[in-house]
Amino acid sequence: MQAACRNQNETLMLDVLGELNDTSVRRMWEDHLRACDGCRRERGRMLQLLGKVREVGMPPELPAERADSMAAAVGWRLRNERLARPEKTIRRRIRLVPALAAGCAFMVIVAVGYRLQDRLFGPLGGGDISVELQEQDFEVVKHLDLLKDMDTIEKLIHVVDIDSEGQGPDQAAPETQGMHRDAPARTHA
Amino acid sequence: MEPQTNSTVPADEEDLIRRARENDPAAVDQLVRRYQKKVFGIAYRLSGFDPEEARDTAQEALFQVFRNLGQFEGRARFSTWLYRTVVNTCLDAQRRRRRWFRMILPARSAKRDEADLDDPLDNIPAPEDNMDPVANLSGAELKRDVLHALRRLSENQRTVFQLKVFQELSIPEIAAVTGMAEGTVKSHLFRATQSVREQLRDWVER
Repeated sequence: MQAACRNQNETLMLDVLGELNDTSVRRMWEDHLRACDGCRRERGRMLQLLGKVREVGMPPELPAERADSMAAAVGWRLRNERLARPEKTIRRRIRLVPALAAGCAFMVIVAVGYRLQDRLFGPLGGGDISVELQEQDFEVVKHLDLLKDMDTIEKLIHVVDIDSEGQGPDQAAPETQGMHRDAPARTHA
Repeated sequence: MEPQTNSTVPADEEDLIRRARENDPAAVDQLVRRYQKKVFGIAYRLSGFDPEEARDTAQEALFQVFRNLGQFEGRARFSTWLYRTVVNTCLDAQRRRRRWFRMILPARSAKRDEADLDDPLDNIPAPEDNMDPVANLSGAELKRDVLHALRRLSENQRTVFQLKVFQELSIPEIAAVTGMAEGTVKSHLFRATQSVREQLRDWVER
């Protein structure tokens, strides 16, 4: 049995699907069909196949009562939606207005509160004090070594002052006791 | 041939559409009754030949058509616009259904798909006295094989093939309904027909 011509596949498909609209192409195809047994057979098979597919795809009859209920349901849904639409808008508006009012009121309260904060709490504003304290602490830490040195110098001056005024070692600070013991020995010498 | 192929909308239809836009229930009812069989036919084919699902989808599609009637500008034919809405509603319903099955019942949906494809007895109608049982069985087998062949196509190929073979729309009409280019429609149609031919080769030789 002769097979269909491969190069005529598209024309064959267009023909069986009823889409071979070009007159010259159609005439050439018809000439080809007369001469080619394979294409003629394939065309017949394709038409038979599509016929069977169409047969299977035939929808069952839509019963009258089903058709009525479908039409009624569509009408009912449309009516309901049209009735619901303005209600929805109104409801949305009703919800939107208090929400906006509450938002505005909240913003006004926050703004007024912020303004009044200084007046109510005045110079005791907690924020400023903490900032100042932090700065002072930082200064102390930064100059801690210097402060220690100054403290030592102050003590030395104090010891020297005591010695020069001729006071006994008993009145000296406990840290400088050793220095006081040595000091009279050196004087005696 | 099911769709209207004339270039002008019939005067009475134009009037009905205008009245339906103005929320005239009688006009809506008349248009629903005029198109419901066609819409049911499309839904039946696009929903895998399931009449129950097709009725629900057709109802939803008709609701969507009349709900969005304000968007119909009259540039295309009313039937083309209606087909587009119906096809989109059917495809959306199918996608939703597939997603639902995949998400909620993955194992069951897989079994269901297999059963749909493999069990030829599933689709046999109830026997009646005046029916030939051999023809009945043969019809069920053919239906199963056609369904199987259609399911092997991509969504675009299947939609284009069904609009061509069942609704008998022309390539430009399919392009208008699906929003594809005519060349794309032609290509999908060509591949789909070849695939169906290959899948149903046993039925062709009989």
